[in-house]
Amino acid sequence: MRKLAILSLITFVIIWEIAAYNSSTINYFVSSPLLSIEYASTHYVEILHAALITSLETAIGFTIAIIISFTIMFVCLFYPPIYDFLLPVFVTSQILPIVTLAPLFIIIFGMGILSKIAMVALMCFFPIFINFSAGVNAVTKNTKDILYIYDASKVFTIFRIITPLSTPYIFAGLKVSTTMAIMGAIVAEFVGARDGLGKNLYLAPKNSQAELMVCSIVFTIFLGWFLYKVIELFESFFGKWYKNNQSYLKEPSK
Amino acid sequence: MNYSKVPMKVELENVSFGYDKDNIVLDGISFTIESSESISIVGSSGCGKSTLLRIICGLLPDLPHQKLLGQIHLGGLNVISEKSKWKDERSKGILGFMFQEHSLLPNLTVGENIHLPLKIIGKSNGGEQLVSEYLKLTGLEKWKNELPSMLSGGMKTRTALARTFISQPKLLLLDEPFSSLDVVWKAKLYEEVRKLRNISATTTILVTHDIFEAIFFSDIIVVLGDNHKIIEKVSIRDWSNKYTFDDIILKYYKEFVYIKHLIEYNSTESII
Repeated sequence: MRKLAILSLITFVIIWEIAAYNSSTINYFVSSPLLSIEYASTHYVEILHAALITSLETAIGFTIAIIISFTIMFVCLFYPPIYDFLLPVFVTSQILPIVTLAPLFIIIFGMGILSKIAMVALMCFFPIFINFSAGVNAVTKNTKDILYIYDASKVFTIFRIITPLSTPYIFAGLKVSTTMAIMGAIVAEFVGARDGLGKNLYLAPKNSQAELMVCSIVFTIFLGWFLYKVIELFESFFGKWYKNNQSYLKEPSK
Repeated sequence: MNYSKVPMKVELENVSFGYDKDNIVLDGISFTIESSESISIVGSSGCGKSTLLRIICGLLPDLPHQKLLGQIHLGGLNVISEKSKWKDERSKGILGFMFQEHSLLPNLTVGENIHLPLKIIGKSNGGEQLVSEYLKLTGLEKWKNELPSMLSGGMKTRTALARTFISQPKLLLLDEPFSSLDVVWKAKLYEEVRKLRNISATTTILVTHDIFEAIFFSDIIVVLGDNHKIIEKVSIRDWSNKYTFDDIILKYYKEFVYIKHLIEYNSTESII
C-alpha cells in the first residue's frame, strides 16, 4: 500500500510539472514543483521561520486545549453536576463557527502569537472534551460494580480506572483536534499576523507569489501530518490494549 | 494468605424489593446463613435471584424510586441502616463478588486484573506474591501478561475467580459465574472454587439456575418461585437422608446419575 501511495504522489507531481510547463496560466496560479523547490532553496530562512511560528502556535494551543479539557473533565468527574451545568455552555459556544471569532481574538490578544494560540485552544478544546466524556460514558456497569464491591476511592476510580478505559475515545478526540488546531492557527493568521504560514497563504496569491503559496501549503500539510503522527505515537504507547489486528480497517493477513 | 478473617454470618429478615411500585421482584425473603456455610439460590430466570444477591451487598437499590423493605445483617452489621460502616467494611476487601459476565478490565493484563482488588483496598504490599499464588492455583501463570481479549471464556472466568478470591473475602457472592461454560470447564472450575473455599472457609452465596451446580456446591439450597417468594429451603444432607433418589429424580429432570454423583461428592467432601 505504501508503494502505491508514493507512486500516486509522484504521478501527481509529474502531471503538475508537465501542465505548468505547457500552460502559462497554470504556471501563474499554482507555479510548478521545480520552480517551487527553487524558490524554497533561496528563501528557506523566511519559509522556515513562518513554519516555526505556526508550529509553535499550534503546539502551544493544542497543549493548552488538552490541559484545560482534561482538567475540566476531572473536575466534572469529582462533582458530576458541573458537567450538566457546563455542557450547554460548551455546545452553544460550538454552534457559532469559532473561526468567525478570529477578528475578536486579534483585537483582544493582539497581532502576536497569543491570539493564534487562543484560537487553536478554543478550536481543539471541544472535540477533546466531548470525546473524553463519551469515553467516560462508555465505562461499563460491571466496572462500576467492581469498584463498589471494594469501595474504590474517587481518585482511584477517576485516574486509575475511568481515564485509562477512556483512552480510545480520548485519542479519537485528539486526532480530530489536530486538524482543528492547524485550521485555527491558519485562519487566525489570515485575519492578521506578523508572520506565519497563514499570513503567507493569504498574501502570496495577492502578490502573485505562487511559489511561496505552494511552499506554505506543503509546510502546512507537513505540520498537520506531523502533529497527527505525534498523537499516533502516543496512542501506540497508551493504547496497546485496544489496538488489535482484527480491525475491519486492517487488511486481513493471509 | 497472610491474614485470616472470620467468615460472615448472613441474616435476611423479610426482605422485599421492587424496581418500581408495580414490579415486585422479591417478596418477604428470610433466611440465615451461618459462618462458613454455603448456600445456593436457584430458580427460573426472572425470579429475582441476581437481584437478591445485589441487594445483599448493597448494589441495589441504586435509584431513588426502587423500594427495599426488611433488614439485612452481614456479620452482625445492618447494611441498610449503617451504610457508612458497611462502606468501611467493603473497603477492607471483605466482599467477593463474581459477576455473571466475567467483567475483567480490558486494559489490564491478567496479572493486573487479579491484582486490582488489592490495589483498590490498599493492600498492594506483597501483592505480587499473592497474585502469583493465585495464578498458580488457577493455572494461569503462562497468561499473566496477556490481555483479557487474548483469553478463552474459561480462562476469563478463572481470572475473575482469582480476582474474586484474592482479597480473601469473608463473604462470597457468586452470580451464575459458570453459566457460559461447558460441562468440562464447569467441573474444573467447581474444583477450583472448592479448593479456594477450603483455604479461606468463606461464607458463600451462589446464584444459579443449574440445580446440579447448587447440589454440588452448597449446604443449603433455597428455591425461589416465580411468585418471588421462597418456595423451598432444603439442607442437602437432610435431603439426601429424607428423600430417596427416586424422589429426587421425579423432582428434577431425571438426570439421576449425575445428581447421584454430585450428592456423593458433596457428602464425602471429596474433590473430583
